[in-house]
Amino acid sequence: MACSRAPGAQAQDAILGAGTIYADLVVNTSAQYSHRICRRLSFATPAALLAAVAALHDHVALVFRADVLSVDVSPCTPEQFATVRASPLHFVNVCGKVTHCRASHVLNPAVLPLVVSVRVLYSPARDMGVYSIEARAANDSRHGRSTTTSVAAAICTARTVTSPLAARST
Amino acid sequence: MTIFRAARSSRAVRVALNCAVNPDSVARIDVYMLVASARLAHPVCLQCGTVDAAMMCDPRWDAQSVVKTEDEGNTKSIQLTHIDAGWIKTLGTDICVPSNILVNVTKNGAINMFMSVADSFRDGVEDEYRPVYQAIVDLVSSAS
Repeated sequence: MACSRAPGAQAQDAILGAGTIYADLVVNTSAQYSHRICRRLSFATPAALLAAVAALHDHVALVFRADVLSVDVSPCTPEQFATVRASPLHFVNVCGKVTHCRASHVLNPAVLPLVVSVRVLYSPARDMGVYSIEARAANDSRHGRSTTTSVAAAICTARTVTSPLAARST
Repeated sequence: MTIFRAARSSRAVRVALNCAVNPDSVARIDVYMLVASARLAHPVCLQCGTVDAAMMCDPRWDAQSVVKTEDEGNTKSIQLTHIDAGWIKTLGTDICVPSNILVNVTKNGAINMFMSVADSFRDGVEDEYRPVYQAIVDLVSSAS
């Protein structure tokens, strides 16, 4: 199916303001699973907007192997535009576990003064004490505010591995 | 066993462990989940199936759409399993094959990826898995 509407025809009517133009572009196609392709972009001039619409029209037709039925353009506010801002790949969480060997204690005694709370859950059936320890990290201070970090320590076989916190928490 | 979480890098984990844990008590340290995030420069139409289709057609993994609950209406979830070990080897680093990766894509273009993996902890371990995440981001970007 050929394109039934010239790309950018709606764009010309929708946005022709001065200054930076913020616009939502939605490409409607005939493909079963790609009927709407979204872009939220900013443009310096209306001409740049029209060029982008034409480019998006060709891009969708090529990449998605779909017939482009129309390209809808609608204005958006700078605040709406700010909600869609590219950010590169970054890590937000690294989760893991420390397996302990037999030792007199598992926590560094130096951290004990930083401990702000200790919760103990003891499971008699498994003979296991689980210590949930919240400590203020001495080197974790941003913008002048102290933050807290949680250290969840599950001490297996409480009889053989003894935490110095046990005495304080009971 | 001591569980650590909410650190943004292996370096932060190392600093926290050095601070909190008696080094003589450490037998081994493992990583079981890495969470990464990225944001596209454009919104994603969640009703559009191109992202799902691209994921499912990719030979590097088995992809399955995850049924959403009512409060997850702004998110598209895809579970990747059976990651191709041959592809992982081609990434150049000696990393383990992830058991599964949950990919959440929001309508604002944010991509959150939760990778379950059983690997030993080492400095920079998360960066060794970066090509896996980047491949997913590139695929979602080109298919949306």
